[in-house]
Amino acid sequence: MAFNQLIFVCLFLPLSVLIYRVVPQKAKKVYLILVSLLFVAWGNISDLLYLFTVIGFNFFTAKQIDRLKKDGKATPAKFVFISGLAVDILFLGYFKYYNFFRSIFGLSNASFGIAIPLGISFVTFSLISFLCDVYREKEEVPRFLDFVLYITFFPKITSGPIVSFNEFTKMLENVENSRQNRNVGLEQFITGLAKKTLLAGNLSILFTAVTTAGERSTLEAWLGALAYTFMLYFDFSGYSDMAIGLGKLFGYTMPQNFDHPYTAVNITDFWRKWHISLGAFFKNYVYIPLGGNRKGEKRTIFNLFVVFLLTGIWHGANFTFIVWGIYHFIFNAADKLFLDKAFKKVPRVLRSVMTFFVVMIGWVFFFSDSLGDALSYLGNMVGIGTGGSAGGYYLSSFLILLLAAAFLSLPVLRNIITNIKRKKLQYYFPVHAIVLIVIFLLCVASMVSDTYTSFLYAAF
Amino acid sequence: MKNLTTKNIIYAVLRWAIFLAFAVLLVVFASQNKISKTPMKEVNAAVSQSIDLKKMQKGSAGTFKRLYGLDTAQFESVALYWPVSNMDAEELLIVQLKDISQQQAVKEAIEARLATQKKSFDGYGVEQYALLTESSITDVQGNYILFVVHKDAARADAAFRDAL
Repeated sequence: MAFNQLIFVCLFLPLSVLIYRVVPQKAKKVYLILVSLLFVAWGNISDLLYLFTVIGFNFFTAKQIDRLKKDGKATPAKFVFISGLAVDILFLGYFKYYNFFRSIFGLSNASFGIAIPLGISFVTFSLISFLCDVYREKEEVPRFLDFVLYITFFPKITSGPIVSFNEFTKMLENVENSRQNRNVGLEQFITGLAKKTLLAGNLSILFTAVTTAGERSTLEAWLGALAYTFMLYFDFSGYSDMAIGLGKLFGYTMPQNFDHPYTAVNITDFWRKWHISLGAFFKNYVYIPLGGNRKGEKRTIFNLFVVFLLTGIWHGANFTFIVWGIYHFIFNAADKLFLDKAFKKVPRVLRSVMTFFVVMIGWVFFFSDSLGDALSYLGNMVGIGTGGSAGGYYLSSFLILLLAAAFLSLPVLRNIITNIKRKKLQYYFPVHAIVLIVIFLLCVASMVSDTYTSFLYAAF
Repeated sequence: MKNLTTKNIIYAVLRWAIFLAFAVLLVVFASQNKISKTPMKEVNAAVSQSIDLKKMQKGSAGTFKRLYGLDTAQFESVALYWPVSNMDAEELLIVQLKDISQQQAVKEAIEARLATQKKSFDGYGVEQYALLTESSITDVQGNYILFVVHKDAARADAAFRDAL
């Protein structure tokens, strides 16, 4: 089940929230776990098998680490910790990368026995975070139910945000089932739904038209790349908004995952604003343990290389993602070494525009099926191997949508709404409520009339 | 101290027992869900030669999308034969999946197609309705799925299994 399916929006969500409200306080956690397991099983019941295994395995691993540490046995504790991480990564590697390696050696795909588990990349990161936090003694081994909820919590299980175990324990301590939280949550959920169905959904029409055509002109290639740039942002930030909004509806406050990334002034800044929880995970569990920027310039650059290589590999089993990761590493390293200093005096708007184009070129590797396809597409963008004549038609048909997408990716509207909220105008709240209801109805109408499209990040 | 050591052993046994149980289940499920390396061309030839296809025509990617709501690009390969006349109900679909996680989506699409056809013929197309209810087979074999509506559906299914 996905957040943008009618059955979720019209049945699963309202029912689960309403029942949650009447469930006694003591039973709320168990109820949330059961709802989360139902959410997972709805798509594929075999996913539960994977979840129960990793939950059991990691919980007892943490218990053993804790006991060994209390027993003063540091080396065995380290061995148990490493073996725990190895098993989690082994599962991820088996389901996500095994067939990729087989294909490198010219072998056909193998059967996994069960379907690739839902959100395996995100679940694995949660497990790694859990074991690391327990091993480093940042957190105590939690009660079993708290741990189960951390792994299965349905708003985040499919595509994050990646919440570290440390953050989740704070969330658990600050659960607040207030009307204000529900209102904020509902607003953020509807905002996310609108980003996905009204913006990303329509941008995908242009992107699909351009990429499935036999040949394309330079204009078409640029329009397709532009459409994907905005589509991916509204798709994933829409998903994140829905996930965070859902968390709020149950009283849990998850960290924001996006902060208008297309206004970034350089690639380093872009990664502070794009998929923030992934950046935070790599920073806390890879970059800093490797030494961060404390061991000199060369080591810092190497650490960055490792982080961006892993970022690329994490996104998918394809060389295109590895190249995309390295592409971002090059710009990050260049920022650190000279680029940031060189562009310091360039106006902020111009730097944002340049960064936007660098990011957009990077997405070509991200959306292409192979490196050959990516290079061919990039060739089209500079006039090599072009054909097709629908550029003008696409431009006139999608110009308003592209302009709207560009405007909505800026923080202008958010700032206007914040200012209006601050002024506490008499008619603000009824008007605000009506606007949200209208947007919600438009989303539902769009979901009824259009073919269902999955979230792009669900594939990662 | 002794108690702690005992607990350590219990935790170690539990975690590795869970890991091994899952690994064994994966092996068992994988053996039941074997990936066939036979190319679609051969499977299609074997099945289409086993039954009479006179009342059917070859379907395009567009027909597949229209009848089943699925995109051919999502799959390794698709072969579709659908009725020439809308007074017939005979149909043959073979889908080669990219990944067995696609099984569920294809099964659901086939069920939806079958339900639509039954609804269309219910009441006026007695023969067609009987064909849809009594002579339709959906067979999932690892990375291949067969859906056939035909008086010789069982023969098509046998040819399908032999070809894999």
